[in-house]
Amino acid sequence: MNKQERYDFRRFGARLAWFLLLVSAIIGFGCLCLYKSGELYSFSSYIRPLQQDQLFGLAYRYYDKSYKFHMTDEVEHPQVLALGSSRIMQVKRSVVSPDNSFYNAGGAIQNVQELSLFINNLHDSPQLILVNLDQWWFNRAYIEEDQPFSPSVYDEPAFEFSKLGRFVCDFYTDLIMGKIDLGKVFSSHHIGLNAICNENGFAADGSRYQGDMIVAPELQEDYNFKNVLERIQNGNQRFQYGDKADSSMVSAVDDFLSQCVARKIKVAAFLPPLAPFVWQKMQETGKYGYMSQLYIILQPVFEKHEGCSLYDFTDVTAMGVHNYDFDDGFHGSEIIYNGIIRQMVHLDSTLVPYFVSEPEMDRLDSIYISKNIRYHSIE
Amino acid sequence: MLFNSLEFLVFLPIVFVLYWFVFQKREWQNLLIVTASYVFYGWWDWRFLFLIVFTSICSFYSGVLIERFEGSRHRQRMVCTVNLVLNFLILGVFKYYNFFADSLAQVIWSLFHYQLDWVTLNVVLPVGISFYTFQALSYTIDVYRKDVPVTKNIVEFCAFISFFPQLVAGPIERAKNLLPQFQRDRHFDYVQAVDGCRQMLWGFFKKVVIADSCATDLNPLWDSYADYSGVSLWMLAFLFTFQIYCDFSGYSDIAIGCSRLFGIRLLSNFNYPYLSRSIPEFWRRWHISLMTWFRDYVYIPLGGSRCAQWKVIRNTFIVFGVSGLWHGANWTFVVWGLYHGCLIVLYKLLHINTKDKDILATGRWLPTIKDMCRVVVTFLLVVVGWVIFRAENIAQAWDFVSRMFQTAFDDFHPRLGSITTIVAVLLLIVVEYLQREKVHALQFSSQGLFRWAAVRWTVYLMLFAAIFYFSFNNVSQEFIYFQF
Repeated sequence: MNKQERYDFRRFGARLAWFLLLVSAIIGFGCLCLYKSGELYSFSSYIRPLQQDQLFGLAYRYYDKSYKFHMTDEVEHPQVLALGSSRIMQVKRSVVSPDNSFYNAGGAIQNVQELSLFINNLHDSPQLILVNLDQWWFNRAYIEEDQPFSPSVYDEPAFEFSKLGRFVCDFYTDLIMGKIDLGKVFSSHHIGLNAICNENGFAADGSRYQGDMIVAPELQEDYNFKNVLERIQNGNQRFQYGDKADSSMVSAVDDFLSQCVARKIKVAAFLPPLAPFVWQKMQETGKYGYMSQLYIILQPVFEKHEGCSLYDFTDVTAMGVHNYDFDDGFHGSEIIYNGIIRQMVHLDSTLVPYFVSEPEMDRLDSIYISKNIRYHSIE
Repeated sequence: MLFNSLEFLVFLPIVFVLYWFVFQKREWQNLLIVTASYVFYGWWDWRFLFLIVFTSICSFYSGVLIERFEGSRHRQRMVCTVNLVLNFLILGVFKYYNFFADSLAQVIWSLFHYQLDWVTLNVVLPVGISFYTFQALSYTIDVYRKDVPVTKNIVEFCAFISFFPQLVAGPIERAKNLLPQFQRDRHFDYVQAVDGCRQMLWGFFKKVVIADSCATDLNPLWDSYADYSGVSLWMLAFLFTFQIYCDFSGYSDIAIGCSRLFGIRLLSNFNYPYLSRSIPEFWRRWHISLMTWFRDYVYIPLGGSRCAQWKVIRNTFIVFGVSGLWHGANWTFVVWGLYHGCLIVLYKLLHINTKDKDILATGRWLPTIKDMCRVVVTFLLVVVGWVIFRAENIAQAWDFVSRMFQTAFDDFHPRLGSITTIVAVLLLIVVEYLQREKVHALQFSSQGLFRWAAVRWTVYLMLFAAIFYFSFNNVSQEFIYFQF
């Protein structure tokens, strides 16, 4: 190698080093922010009690099912367990009697078979399970298209390093789009960018806190139920059409209840509410026959099992609720769920010891009303 | 091993360091290149390495024998013929056997209603077989013609056949250009290496950002083309037009840039083909290494254009028919080649000027209106050709093209052409037009905005960021030309 070549190599090396340094700095900063926000922690480090006002909300990884299961099983060991899909996440510790420990495992279940799987894997039995049975869990079209059953949903997920590059890309995209406030990333005590930047995540009791919806409901995808109405029109994304309830799913509910009875767990189940406006639109299509049959088919199954009861809140028009009290077409807000619990306690006196008194419930409602939250302009 | 893979990101620096700092002698460097090239190729399927080795040995010894039989032209011709037959046999078995067997069976059935029970071979097409076979063939023919001297060093020869940057998708190198580079000492050149890196960066941008984005938009919709209106079908055709260009020219840019890091200069393969003013000019700018191969080894030996007009037409059809077949064992490729042959003959018969040597609007900012119109017409003719190329079969190609002209133009499919893809394609058009007089798009002049290092570095980093982003957000596609 001659002198000129050595000189050329040094220049080339220096130039390449500068380029790599700049690239590493950019990627490294992205990784640092992701790490600082909690997005890159190992799964096991998430399984610990949250502080009272701390939120857990990852932006780039979906761990809801296993997070809720491991929190219930390893950390919380609740006496009262709220179990189900996102349509039970609104139930908060404040409605449960202080004598009982509570955890909301909403989000852990996406189909009926997962109910049995969850309970089977749980080491300690709760005294009461409050469970929502989403209507579409009994529609074969939904199960096949959206939520096929997998027996490994509650396994501890491993961190996939191959996805790190994608996280960095997503981070910078969101940063450029103005969705991420770097100041908050380095100062917030929440875990995950969704919690830090949107105040959107699971609270210490497992219930869902949706800060971004409260701040700017009109910016949400389903403002005035636009998105859900589209789904109804297209018959997709949970709103697949169906005439008959799937009998195998009804049997799966039977299995779940048998397991609960065997473990001396009391079950209070309900068919969760749809916004009255949305329910009316669904009925007008005449394509959701299976929903109207559900309570009639499921009620005898619950009656077979001692300590298990079912309530139908699909249509909550009679409760005098407002459309604007729904986050979106099928997620009621806190006040709606408070109303549901009131009704359940009113209809089944054995539930009284588990929940707060009527005046306390009134107080919680008045706090909510005083916030004057309206998720939609439709009354 | 794919250029756009993590393995290559590790492989390249290792080979680079070993090449310049450990194996500093030419002989060792050549041996390293052969070894690295076999690792590169064997990463995909090591069993097909035997084919490359066999092809290399046959062609090497045919060269040696041709020299040994100096004075006996008859024997030399025989050696050359045997080597050509052997190479074509391998190509025929691995690439064309099933195609010809099926086609013949169909003809027999349609004529005599007799079912031929051929034994079809269930073999995988070895990646890049057409490229390295043609490269080996060119050496034997050149030696026979005494255009290049015989090499007696098998390592040099194997390095020539299997040089990893261009092994699987070209450019198809000629012994006259590449072999002497393995026979002399290479020196590291800073300017070449840096410009090679720039060319690779641009190649990666074209492949990962543009070609893969086009493919992501295009692939799910192509099969259901019958549901779309004329304007949507044109959009699909445009997407494929840019996909195939960015995919293939991107690969060539990476290969050429990568070679320059090792002090090797490869032939140019693309020269802004979509800025061509005529179909003949397009073919002087598209896949240059293949077309010059056919020109030198098929067209000119047949008489070229210095013979009677009917012979010129015949020669043109032969060259384009065979070059179509080179692309793959499907009649669509043959028809695509013949379609271009027809256009070239038409240009010739109508005495349309096709002699443009310079790039469009040389020394000017904008082209003349006439040139602009010619570019648009040429481009549209090429787009129609790509539909034939992309179609599954002739019937689909015909149906697709018919619908492009017949169905309504008022209904644009909303999922066609995402904003990012359209922006990326527009960026490509603008950049390539502005840089049309340069060897590649990232060769900046020392005047204007790009004389500032900060501006140039911002461009590099933005391109890198785009590649990084799209490599995680697009479905990574294999290079289209790997299958040829």
